Amino acid sequence: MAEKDDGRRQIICDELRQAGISDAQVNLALETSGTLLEQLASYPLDEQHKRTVREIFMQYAQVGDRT
Amino acid sequence: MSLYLSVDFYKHAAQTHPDGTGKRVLEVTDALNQLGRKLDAVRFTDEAFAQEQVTQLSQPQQPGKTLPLKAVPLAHKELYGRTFKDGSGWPYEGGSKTYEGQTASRTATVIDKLDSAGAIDCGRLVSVEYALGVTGHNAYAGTPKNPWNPAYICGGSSSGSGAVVAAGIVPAALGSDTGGSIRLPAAACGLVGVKPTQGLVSRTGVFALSNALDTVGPLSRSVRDSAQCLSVLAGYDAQDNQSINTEQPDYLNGLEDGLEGIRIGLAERYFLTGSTAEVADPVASCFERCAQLGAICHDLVIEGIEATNPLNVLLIATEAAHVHKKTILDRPELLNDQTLMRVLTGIFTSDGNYRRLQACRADFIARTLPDLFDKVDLFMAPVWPFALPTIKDSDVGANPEAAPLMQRIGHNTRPVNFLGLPAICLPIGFDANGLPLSVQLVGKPFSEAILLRVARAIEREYDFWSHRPDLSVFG
Repeated sequence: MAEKDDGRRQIICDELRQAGISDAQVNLALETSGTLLEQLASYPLDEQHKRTVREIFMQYAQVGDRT
Repeated sequence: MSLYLSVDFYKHAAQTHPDGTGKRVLEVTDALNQLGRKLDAVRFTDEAFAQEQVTQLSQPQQPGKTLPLKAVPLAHKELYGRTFKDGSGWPYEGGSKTYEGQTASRTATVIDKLDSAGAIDCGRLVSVEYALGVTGHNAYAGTPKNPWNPAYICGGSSSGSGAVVAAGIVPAALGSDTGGSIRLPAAACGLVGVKPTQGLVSRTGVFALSNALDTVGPLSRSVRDSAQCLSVLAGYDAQDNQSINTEQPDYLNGLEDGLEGIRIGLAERYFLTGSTAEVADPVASCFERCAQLGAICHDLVIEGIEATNPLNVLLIATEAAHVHKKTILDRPELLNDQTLMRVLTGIFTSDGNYRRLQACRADFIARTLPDLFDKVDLFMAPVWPFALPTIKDSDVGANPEAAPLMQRIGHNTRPVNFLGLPAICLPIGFDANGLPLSVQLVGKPFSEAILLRVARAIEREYDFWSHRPDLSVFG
């Protein structure tokens, strides 16, 4: 999986450089993205939770208690 | 020119002096073109269209039809599309040279609603590029000056809306809020800003940044004006995949009911501790004043709130990259460097990580909301985490060393977007530089009515708009 992700990132980096975006900008974006994705990975997700945000909010909409 | 007129003023004038409506609207378009342009806040006006709307108002209306914003002149952030019967449309560039010359392909649902309510649409106001930035800098569309002091920013991304309403040109303007873009400029300019519950107000026809997080709402000088606008804007739209069908209250009902029995929390950890004393202390003082006015006040801890800020940044960047990838790859040189970097940050997010991001958001909301709103009806927090900076000091393009500090601007606003909750900010005084200080009130989903009621009680107490900016500095 990690190799697949590395390959995907490399393809995107090549695409960005071909578009004329500088190496410094691509590297900074990659670094910032990596930091944020690490924070995502560290979130203790409850895999049992299956409802979407909209579904949760629909429940609040139906409660009718706005106070 | 007559400035600082309210929604009620225009409605009343339309009843008592209907023949003067055209002149009043002309005064507003003139003020947008004169003072508004001196503020660098206006993209364009359309006097002919505004007068056409005035003429339509003079025609007989359908029996039983009410016009809750009759003859109220408004102008909005440039993200709101408008088209005409001949197929043409107003410019629709999202504040970006990358979309230069693009026109709207449809009228935004909320613009249709405002038209049906009798409001007059005078034009469009400056937005930060792609609505993706919190300081208000935009080298292409303009960097609006703060009416309270032109050396200072208006905040972003609804920067033009903040400037024009605070200068008194229109009573209200639409903004959009994905990470704080209504509340930050509203707070910077001393305005009421309403970020509605996710799903309450349609985004159809609005220039998109993040499907999961974009919300649409008004900025105004009074709680009452915002309540009147929100009563028109709210409502289900089947074309918006986040829209939720819910009972739509009249937000003016109960507005003057005060604070008796309202349970208010103060989110000291993260929100106050993450802000400087200059902005946090007035919020704590406001909390105490609410207790004196009859509110039941509690300290509050929101477990895990720290995680939401970076996840919101990632979600915005990922969805913005999805929306704008092709444009960026075609013409990256046309983008502001900061916009480019913010969007590029999200371009590496895989489909799997995007799904996890959405799942983490839903998980956090499901875990947090029941406990949080079992204890309180709403909580208070600052909007800006530090005193408003000048345009020069916050220009990251010219001062790259300012970037880390500027990235902190959304500290108090992004978690609210991540939670999808409604929030209203309003002014509660002035800082040492004479710039507005604000508080935000955050409630449970669809609790806008109670937030407006509390905001109105605080507004009465502080009477902020008894002061006005000195507009003579704009000539």
